[in-house]
Amino acid sequence: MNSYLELKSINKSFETEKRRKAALKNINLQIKENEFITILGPSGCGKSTLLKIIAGFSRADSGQLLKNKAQIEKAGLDRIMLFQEFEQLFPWQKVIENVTFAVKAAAKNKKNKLSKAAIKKKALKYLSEVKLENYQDYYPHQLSGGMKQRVALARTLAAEGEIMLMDEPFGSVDSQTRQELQQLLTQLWQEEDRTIIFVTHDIREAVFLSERIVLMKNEPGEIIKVVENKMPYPRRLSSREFNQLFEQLQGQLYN
Amino acid sequence: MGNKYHQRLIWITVLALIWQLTALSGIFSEMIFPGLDHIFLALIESFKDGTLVKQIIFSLSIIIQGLFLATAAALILALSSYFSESAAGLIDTLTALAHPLPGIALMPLILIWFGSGRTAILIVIIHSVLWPLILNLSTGFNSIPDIYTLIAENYRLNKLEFMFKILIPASLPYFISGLKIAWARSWRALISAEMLFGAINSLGGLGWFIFQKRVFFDLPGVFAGIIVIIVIGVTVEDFIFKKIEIRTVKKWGMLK
Amino acid sequence: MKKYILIIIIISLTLFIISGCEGPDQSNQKSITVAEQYGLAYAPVQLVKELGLLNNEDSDIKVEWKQLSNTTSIRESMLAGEVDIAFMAIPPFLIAKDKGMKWKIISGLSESPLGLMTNREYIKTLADFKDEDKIALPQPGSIQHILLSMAAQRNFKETDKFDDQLLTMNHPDAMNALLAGREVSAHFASPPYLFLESKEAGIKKILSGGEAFGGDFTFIIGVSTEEFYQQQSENYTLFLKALREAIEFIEQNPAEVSELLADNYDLSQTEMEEYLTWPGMEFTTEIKGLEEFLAFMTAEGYLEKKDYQRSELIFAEKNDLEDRENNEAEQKRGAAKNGE
Repeated sequence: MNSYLELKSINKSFETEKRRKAALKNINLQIKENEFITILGPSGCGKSTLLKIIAGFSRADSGQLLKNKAQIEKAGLDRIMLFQEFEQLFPWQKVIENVTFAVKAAAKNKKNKLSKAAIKKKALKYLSEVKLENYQDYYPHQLSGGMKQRVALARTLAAEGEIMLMDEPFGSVDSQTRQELQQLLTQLWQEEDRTIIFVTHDIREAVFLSERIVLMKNEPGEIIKVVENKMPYPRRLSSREFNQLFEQLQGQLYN
Repeated sequence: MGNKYHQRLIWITVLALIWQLTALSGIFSEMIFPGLDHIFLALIESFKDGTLVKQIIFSLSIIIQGLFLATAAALILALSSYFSESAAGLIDTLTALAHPLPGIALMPLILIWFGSGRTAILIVIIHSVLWPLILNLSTGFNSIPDIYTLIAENYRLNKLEFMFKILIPASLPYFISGLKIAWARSWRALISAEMLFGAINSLGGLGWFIFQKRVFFDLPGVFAGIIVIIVIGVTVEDFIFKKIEIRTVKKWGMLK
Repeated sequence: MKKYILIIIIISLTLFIISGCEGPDQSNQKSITVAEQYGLAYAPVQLVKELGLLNNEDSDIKVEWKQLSNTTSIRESMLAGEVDIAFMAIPPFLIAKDKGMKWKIISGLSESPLGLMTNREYIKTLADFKDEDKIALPQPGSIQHILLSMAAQRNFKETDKFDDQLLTMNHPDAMNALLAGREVSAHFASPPYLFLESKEAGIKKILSGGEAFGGDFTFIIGVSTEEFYQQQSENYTLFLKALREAIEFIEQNPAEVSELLADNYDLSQTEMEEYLTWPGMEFTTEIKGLEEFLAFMTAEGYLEKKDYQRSELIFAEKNDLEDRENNEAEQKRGAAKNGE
């Protein structure tokens, strides 16, 4: 198995008022290129911290983080984060401007000179991928929560990084919208060559979305198990296989 | 909003009525409490000979210059204090020391250092505007969501891009409210400075207008000056700042 | 409906509040408030204060001395009824009188040399002023301003020739600015600033008050409100008596007065005496130049009303007052007799 992104014995602890609390303990994980992987665990298991370390927002106390065998030092456009908060969109920019923001940043990073028209064209392409091309001139506050997250998704796609990091991005929308977004995400992932590392505490979401599921537990944050999910896409929530895997994971998480 | 102006109109009418009734009642001599008719006559007279218009322009030009300079300085200072901890220490100390100090208290020093000309008034205005602006801007900068700094890091924005693409627009509501305070304070500073420093060349501003009316014992004239000040103050507040707000932070949903 | 009730409440509240501040307490008849000002020309007033001349006359009387920084605020205090007696030059008195203030002159206080002092080599006469030369004086409408206008009228037939070059400054600031020599080219000074400035090298007088006016004039007069004059005639008379006493005392014993007042002016006794007896420095109750000021200020539009009678401007003499009191007393006595 060719390891594209490699986490080697990552440890991270936080200073709390009373004691040092181990947030992550000896995390070892190998992620393949263009893989859809979820990190699943209860709140407080350090899954978000792990994602922040991969993003380069925060540094591990010890251990190594390698991409193509090279050490990752800081945040970059190759690993773009999609957050849960609606406020990740800039309220002072129209929908289209929020997306061109990423197009421009990516172009600058690659030292590409793009014309205004080319930038807009690209942004529109990603907006239409999330089916929001008709909303390009809206301001974020005029959109529903689900639409906001779709714009944010378009922005994340528009940065054209190989890896997309998602920190419970659908955690704040209603369940129906969530299902729509999950479907949209799997479609997009199948169309584009991207690696997705998706953090969630929702077992169904993990089963629905990813090829591999990393199970984590609380105190200290450790990996219990990595489960393969070979179900074909599009997956159906009502299928027998789905529910079998769901129950298996539930058992492993909460025994 | 229409309702607000409607209400305001009613209240102004009521207050004007009370004023006029009090003036007519003769409780006070006309010298202490002139009727509105006298005040408006004085106002019209002052506009007629053209000096009042020149004085208004003179005052406004100093204010605009002062606001512009102070805003530029406040932006530079607040930004450096956002990015550098030692600059933050210095600027915080300066602000703490200077902010509570009324510009008028500095008059004797300003007179010695800058004379009593336009520069002196400009300094008083900048002093009274700079510190609240820095405070507001700093609060604005520090209260932008953490997520923005992460995004800036993620998308590899340099400091300059971060400033202009994120930091300043994200703190615009604070910036605008700072400017509103600045406007009100500069207006006050200007009038008091002009009343203290007197005229510059042939022309003084509105403060000088009031001072002149005062020394010639022209109370309706003094009130006429006050009315002009109020009208300009309200106009700027209600039209210019409202417009800016409607076109920016309100449109963006950053201000309810 | 609620709204209108609220409005009515507010109106009545407002009226209540206004009626609450109707002037100072006038129940105490034995009280008198005098505004004092710094300046040698006010020396007799300082003397009244220092020697307690008012209390010599009547030990019960309560005298309050108010320090106010300029003529404008003194006028305003008098209008508000907070000051009974004050001292100032004739023009500011006339300006307020013309605007309807109910007050009159009690008496003259002093004549004094005044002078337009310059620090510029090239300024030898008024004609040498360039447009950028600034002239410092207390305020528009002050005696210094009127004198300058008179000189401008006499020399150039242009009353407002220098009006664009005026800089409003109080005397101490103006003296400092003149000595610093940067911003200000000239200062229309009164004593002691006039004397202090004339001792400085490089500073010279190019115009005296007398030259500007075209003769002698009273610099400072005492003024009082008609209300005080009528309602507290006893105190008024007392004050006038004390003032005359002080003026006489200064004229006759400048040395003694200098000793008494030197500290008040922060001067040595010799300096004080030098200044008090400076040529042109006269303390007298006589009022000179009132008609000339009236005529000029009316002609130049500083005053609107014309044809002021002297009796409209100056309170009736003390004797008249005493006579009137005597008459009243006699009438009372007569009435009492008749009643018997």
